[in-house]
Amino acid sequence: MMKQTQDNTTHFGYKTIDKQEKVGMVAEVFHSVAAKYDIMNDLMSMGIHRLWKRQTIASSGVRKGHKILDLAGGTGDLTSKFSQITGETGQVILGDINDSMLKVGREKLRDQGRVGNIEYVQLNAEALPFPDNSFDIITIAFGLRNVTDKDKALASMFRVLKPGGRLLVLEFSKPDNELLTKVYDFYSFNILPKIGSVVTNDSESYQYLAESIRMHPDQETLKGMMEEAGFEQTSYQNLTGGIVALHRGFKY
Amino acid sequence: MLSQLIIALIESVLNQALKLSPQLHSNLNSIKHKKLQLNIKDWQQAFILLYTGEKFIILTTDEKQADCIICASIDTLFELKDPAKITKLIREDKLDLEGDIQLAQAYSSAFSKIEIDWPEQLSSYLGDGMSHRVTQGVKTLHNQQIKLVDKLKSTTAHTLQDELKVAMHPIELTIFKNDNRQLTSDLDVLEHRINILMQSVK
Repeated sequence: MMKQTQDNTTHFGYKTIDKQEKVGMVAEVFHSVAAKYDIMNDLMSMGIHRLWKRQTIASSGVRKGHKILDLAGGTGDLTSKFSQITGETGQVILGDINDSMLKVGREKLRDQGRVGNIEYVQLNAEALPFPDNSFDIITIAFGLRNVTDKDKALASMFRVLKPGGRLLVLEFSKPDNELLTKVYDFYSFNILPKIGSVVTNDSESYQYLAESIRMHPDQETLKGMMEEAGFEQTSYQNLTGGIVALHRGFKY
Repeated sequence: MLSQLIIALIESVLNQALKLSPQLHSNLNSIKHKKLQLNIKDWQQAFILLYTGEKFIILTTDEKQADCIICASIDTLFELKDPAKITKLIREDKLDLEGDIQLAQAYSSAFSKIEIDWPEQLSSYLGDGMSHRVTQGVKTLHNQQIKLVDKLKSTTAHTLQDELKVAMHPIELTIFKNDNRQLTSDLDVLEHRINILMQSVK
């Protein structure tokens, strides 16, 4: 897996671009897919993304009254469940850099009747607009790979996490089996863009999705990055043969 | 991931029961947001059961982080439907319980009181008449099945005890038990006499 470059360039899928350009280009991708994001998630993962998210909630140790930041929260799947568990005394902040995704998420959660303990904040994970030691739990599900400077984002998350709090990173990773890797590559580069083309009339965004997954740090590299940012007791759990990994780290 | 799938299914069944038996909400109101952890011995897996005030949430867990922790086998968990049995099961070492026992009792009592008005639920799909007929039919079938099972048991017992003489008749068993008791008592008396004689010889 390729590390982020030290100069002013970064990756957008397989392309090398200026760091300043990435935010705008990722934003375009998500503006384009926001409206059909949920249906595409179900189609692409055959519904398994729901189980990956359940595992994330289960690993979070969430309790009544907790304050939680759901970064890159998109259409609010994790936020919805967290808000039910934390109750009226807790608070969940759904943060996303993309306003289209936030709007879709807010509409969906309000339709479900999830109001009262949820706030919506448009933010950049690299510079979180919260005081130090603010949250009991931070989650970022399928969002870290789209962040331009991942080290900066992890440091920012570490800063706003309370001592004793935990970070959960749910992200595509590297399958631990050769055969699975081949099947997965074929699916990602041949079938996925076609599904995207049929459902959202946008195959390029899903081509980017497949490429960005390959450019994302593998399990051990991401664990190392979390440790570098200051997280302790870091560990990861491979889900569905390592197609997705759930990283967990604590701040003490 | 399989455990997540199973839990998702169980959660959805419980939430369906909650929809069909709305009085469960008032029975569970006092334990809203309290976590009950179930460590199931047969599966080597722990779950958290939580009632949010709207629905049940079940999560897997690898931590001890609940208000009440129960460790038991699946069979024992089914016995927990009767809240009065909790203390008995703890005494028999079938159940380990840590934390707030009232939480376990509240869940146990709420689940034992689940009552689903099937004719009412079915009437929205089948109409009142048909739903009444279906539920009556199911009840009759159920009663017939119970009668059939009882009859089969009695016939089998009769055949084994009286016809084939494979099993002992209850009266024979009672006589055997009485004889056995008499023999034990005689032996005790004999033992006592032998002890007295031994002491006098010494």
